[in-house]
Amino acid sequence: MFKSNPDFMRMAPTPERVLAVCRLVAQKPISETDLRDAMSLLNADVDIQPITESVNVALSELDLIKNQNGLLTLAVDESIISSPTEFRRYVSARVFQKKDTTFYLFTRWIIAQNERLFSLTNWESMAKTCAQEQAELKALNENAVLGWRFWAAFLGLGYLSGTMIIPNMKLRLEDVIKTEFAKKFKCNEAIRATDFIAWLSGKLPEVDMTGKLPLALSAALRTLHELHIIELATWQDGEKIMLYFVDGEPINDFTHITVKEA
Amino acid sequence: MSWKQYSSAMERYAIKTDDMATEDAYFMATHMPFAQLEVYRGGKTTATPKVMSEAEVFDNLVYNPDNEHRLIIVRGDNGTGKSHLIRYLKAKLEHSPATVYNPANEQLIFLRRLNNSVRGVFSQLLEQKVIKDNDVAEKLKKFVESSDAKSESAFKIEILHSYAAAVENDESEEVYKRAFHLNIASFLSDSRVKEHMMREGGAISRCYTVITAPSDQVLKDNTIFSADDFNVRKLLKEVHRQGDPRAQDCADTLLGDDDEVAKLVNYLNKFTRDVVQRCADISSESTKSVFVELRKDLKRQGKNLTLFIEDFTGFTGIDSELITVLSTEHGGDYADLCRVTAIIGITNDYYDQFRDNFTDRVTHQISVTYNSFSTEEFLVQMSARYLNAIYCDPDTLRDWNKNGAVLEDLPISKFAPPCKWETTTIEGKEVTLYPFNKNAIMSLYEHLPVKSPRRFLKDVIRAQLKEFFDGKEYGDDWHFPLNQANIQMSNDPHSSTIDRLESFSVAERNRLKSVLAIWGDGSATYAKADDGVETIGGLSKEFLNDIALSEFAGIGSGAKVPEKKPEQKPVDKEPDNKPKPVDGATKDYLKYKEDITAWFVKNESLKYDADYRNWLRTLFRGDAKQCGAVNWQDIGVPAYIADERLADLAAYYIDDQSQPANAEKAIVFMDRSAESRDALFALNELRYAKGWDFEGAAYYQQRLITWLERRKDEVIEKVIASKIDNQLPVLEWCIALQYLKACILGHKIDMSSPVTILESLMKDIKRNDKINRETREWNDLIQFTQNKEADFFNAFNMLKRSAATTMGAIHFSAEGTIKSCYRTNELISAVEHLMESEWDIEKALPEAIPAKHLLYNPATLLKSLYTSVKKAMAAEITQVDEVLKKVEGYVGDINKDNLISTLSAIQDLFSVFAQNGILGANDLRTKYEKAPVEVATEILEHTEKLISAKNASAVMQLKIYSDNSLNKVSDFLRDLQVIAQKAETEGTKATNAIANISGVSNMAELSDAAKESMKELHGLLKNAEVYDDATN
Repeated sequence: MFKSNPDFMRMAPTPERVLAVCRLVAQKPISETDLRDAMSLLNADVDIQPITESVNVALSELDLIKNQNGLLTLAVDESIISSPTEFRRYVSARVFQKKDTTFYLFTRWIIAQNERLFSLTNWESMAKTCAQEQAELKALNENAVLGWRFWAAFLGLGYLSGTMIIPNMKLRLEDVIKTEFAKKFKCNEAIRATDFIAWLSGKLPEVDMTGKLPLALSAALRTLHELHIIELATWQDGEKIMLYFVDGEPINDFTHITVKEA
Repeated sequence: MSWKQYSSAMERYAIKTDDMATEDAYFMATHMPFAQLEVYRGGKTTATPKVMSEAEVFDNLVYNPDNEHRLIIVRGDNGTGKSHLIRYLKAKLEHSPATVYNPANEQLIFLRRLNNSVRGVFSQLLEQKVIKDNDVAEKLKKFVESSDAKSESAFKIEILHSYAAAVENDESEEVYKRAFHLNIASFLSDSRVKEHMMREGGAISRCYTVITAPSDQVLKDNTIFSADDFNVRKLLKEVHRQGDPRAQDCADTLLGDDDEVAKLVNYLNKFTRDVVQRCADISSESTKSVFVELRKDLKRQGKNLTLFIEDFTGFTGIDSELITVLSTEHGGDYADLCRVTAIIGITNDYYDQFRDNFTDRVTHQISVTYNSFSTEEFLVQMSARYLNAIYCDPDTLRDWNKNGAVLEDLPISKFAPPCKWETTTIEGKEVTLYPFNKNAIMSLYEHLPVKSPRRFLKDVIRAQLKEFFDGKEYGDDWHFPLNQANIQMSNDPHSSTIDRLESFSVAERNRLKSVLAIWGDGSATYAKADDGVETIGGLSKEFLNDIALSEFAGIGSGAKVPEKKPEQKPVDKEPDNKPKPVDGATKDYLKYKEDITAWFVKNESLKYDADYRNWLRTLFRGDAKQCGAVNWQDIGVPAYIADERLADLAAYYIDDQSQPANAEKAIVFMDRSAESRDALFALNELRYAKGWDFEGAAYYQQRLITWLERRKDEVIEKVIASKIDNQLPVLEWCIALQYLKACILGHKIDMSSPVTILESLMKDIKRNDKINRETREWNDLIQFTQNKEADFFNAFNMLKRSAATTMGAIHFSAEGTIKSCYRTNELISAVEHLMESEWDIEKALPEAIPAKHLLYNPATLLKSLYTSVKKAMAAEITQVDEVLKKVEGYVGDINKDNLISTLSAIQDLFSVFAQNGILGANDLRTKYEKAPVEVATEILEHTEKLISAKNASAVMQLKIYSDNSLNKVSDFLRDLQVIAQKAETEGTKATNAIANISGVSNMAELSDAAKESMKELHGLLKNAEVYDDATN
């Protein structure tokens, strides 16, 4: 899922499965064979391949587990796998920094499509269109996108709806704000939008923030604002950051942002 | 002029309640030329008309230089403007130059609607000094005055008496027998009945009105009496009790009989004409003669007659006579009559009721139809003229009228709107439409329930202007514009944004939306043109400021200029406007939209909530193949649990849905709010477009996601019936059930490790009929598992499916064979915890367990199972004690040596049996053929197991006893019992045999060996405990 391009981005290693592998390994160091047996409970009907693939993701792509003398052990602090939220935050802090993965490249492309995404009404057309337009992703196929979508939804890039993803990075953005914001800024204080975006662009490398903010990020900001998790404001004389224009939305730009204390 | 003055000009002059009361100056200033009038020759309605303009109608029909006899009917439905046309034609004639209208040789009479009573007609004729003949004039004068002189009550009594007299004198028996006529007359004369008839709004008052007073009520027919006059129970009962016998009889007939009442009403109404004429003291002959005299008189004067009757329908009592006079052509036999051009307004309904011979008398028909006034051009012009008349100084208009009311010279007001505004032209001169614009005019017209110029004038122009002027004058509490038809903005996202403006009151939001919907382009888009002019929804901001909506800044910075929507004006519609057929999907879309809007705006119940709840279900749960917006399995909620908990539509509840349901039990609750409305709109759009590829999708997604996110945490907690980080130990409960069931049914569990335990338990555990249990209670346990098979199955199913991972749509977790790997870590944790608790988690079960709850059902089952297990183990222990005691009876202390000794003795016994040819118990013999030490070890193991469990917990006992050691030991006991029995039997036989031997003569012949054997046997048996026992 997170291999360097080209990567087939298989569907089977879903977040649930990868986490289950890590948690099993955390209980006791275990060989891969035993792990397979355990996760299938020796049931002949259970497909083994997804287990193998999930192990690979945890081991080689996310560095969550390691192989020590033939036994798989946890390679990270147990707190990382203590909840889906912690797990998610660990993964999202890493995978978008690796800019040569198919996952990253495709994510970036999707986010840049903005409303055009809606006309690509299913995963196949998304894959085909991207493959045609992005030279480095020419090998992309429908299966890869089908695999991508589970992690995309999990990491908070959007919400699955039919054969489409609604671009709204509320969860992703919220994760970044909750884990990183306080390291640089103060809560309950109005921060200049330009400063915020400059900082954010380092945390969300998959989003191009050089011009108007794309729809996925704009939608996230709007949602967080409506939920009173942040407050967007436009002050006179402030330098505006433009959101992606959505007809009917009252906020289409902001000069300052306040993050409310949790 | 001030706003107050404009308002006053409108109410007093320009748009009066009855527009025929408008004074001439305003009438002429606001008159709209009729562009398309249909003119028919003759009186039939089936001929093909010729279309003429108003000017052409005047030139060809009103202007009559050849003195043709003309009876022209002006037809049209109420409010279409026929009265207006007639009045205008009369005014035009009056204002015409002498070559067209010369009062010296043309008598012009105009009978208005206002005085359509009989008295009124003659009063007008007198007023207009038409009647030259003194005798006739006197007669009319006398009648008019006498009507004045008589008091109202006296007149009414006369009317009532006239009816009574008419009935009494009625000789025909068509309706009632003559005798009954007298009853009716008596009834009508009853004082109580009189009082009722003469009440305000009663029959007699109505008749009085017809005869005397000015009335703006047009009577369609002669319905003076109505059911209300007789259908009064109290009245009829009083008459029944206290009236004279004839009146009583009549009252009795009417009491409670609607048919009889109707019959009487129809009967009495037939006399109206006669009564009116009698009371008016004008016979039909006199009416006729007045008009004949008039024509003769005019002829004598060398004059012709042009008679305008604005509304003929009101001439009750004299209508047919009047028509007869007017339709009599001059010349020939009637050379003494002047030429008459009669122009008479009649409603279509009334005309249709005419007798055929009337229609034969009509020379022309002018039909004022829908076509004439529904176009944008007409309505805008009309609005402009009225506005101009209102904004003009009254004196200026009157002067203009006095000077001939020439249209080209129409004064134009100096009213200046606060900003550049739409105008139109009247006779080439620019006239403002402020505060209306073309959009507003057309939209408001289109939404009128009845579309006619009159209704447009009253309900659009006047109603809106009143609010506008009030607002301008008083500055506060604005109601302009009114929006009775609830016209909505076409741009839903903008409309919803306005709904969410907290700084505006609800009333202001509605006003704003109305203006944008009706006046504007349906949106609230802010834009600034190059010349600096700011608009919102296409409307000048100055206009909004002018109507106290200055606080609204519009939506958007105008960065994206919305495409101009194609204009949707009803240009020259067909008279019967058939709606375009819409497909089913669109119908549904619109019906849902309407339903949701009514739910939010008008607080009505949702009609189609089942559909909306289904949409919500898809949102949260996905469908059979696709994921929903919540990725349950990745956030720590097993897919199976989410799927099951969200499967039933009853889990979704929308405030004020029509389907009755318990809102408390809902997992997803949707309140009635703007946000929820928007979410439903979003789902409706999604459904209609079958995806997100539609205009406004980004907006709707925003609304939907915000709605979802605000409620997601709560929904998750309801799905799992707990907090996300402290979920119910469902897996543990299910594993415990499997474990207990396995123990009960004697199924082997590999207890080496949690994984091996799981491997043993994650299987279908079936009853093994080969296992026999010793206690009734254990068998009851087995029966329990059979009786609760479905519950056990559900728990096991839940265990497997919710522990399995799921890829994609959560519904996959519920279907088919499980092919997906497990979250074994969770299962292991559960097993470890169970092991620590020694598989007895009864105390850890919740105290109050909700019934019939997917997540709690395993706990419910577990609770009753633990109780049964504990009971069964108590019985088992008792049985164990009993069995062991009995075994001890045979063996002594149960230890290895004693067991070996006993088993050896048994073997020896069987040898003896064999040697002595004693048959039977072969199976036992075979059974105990094994080396005694082996069997002893086995039995000892079992007994030690039984003993070891005695102080264990019930659940541990269950496990220990699961492999049925008790049965093994009990079998051993049973075997001992059988062997002992056999030994006893054979022993007795042997003893007897020995005893008998001594009595036999050839005793010496018995071999020593045999004797020895018997002795041995006897000794053996005597020594053996078995024997002792047997003898005991």
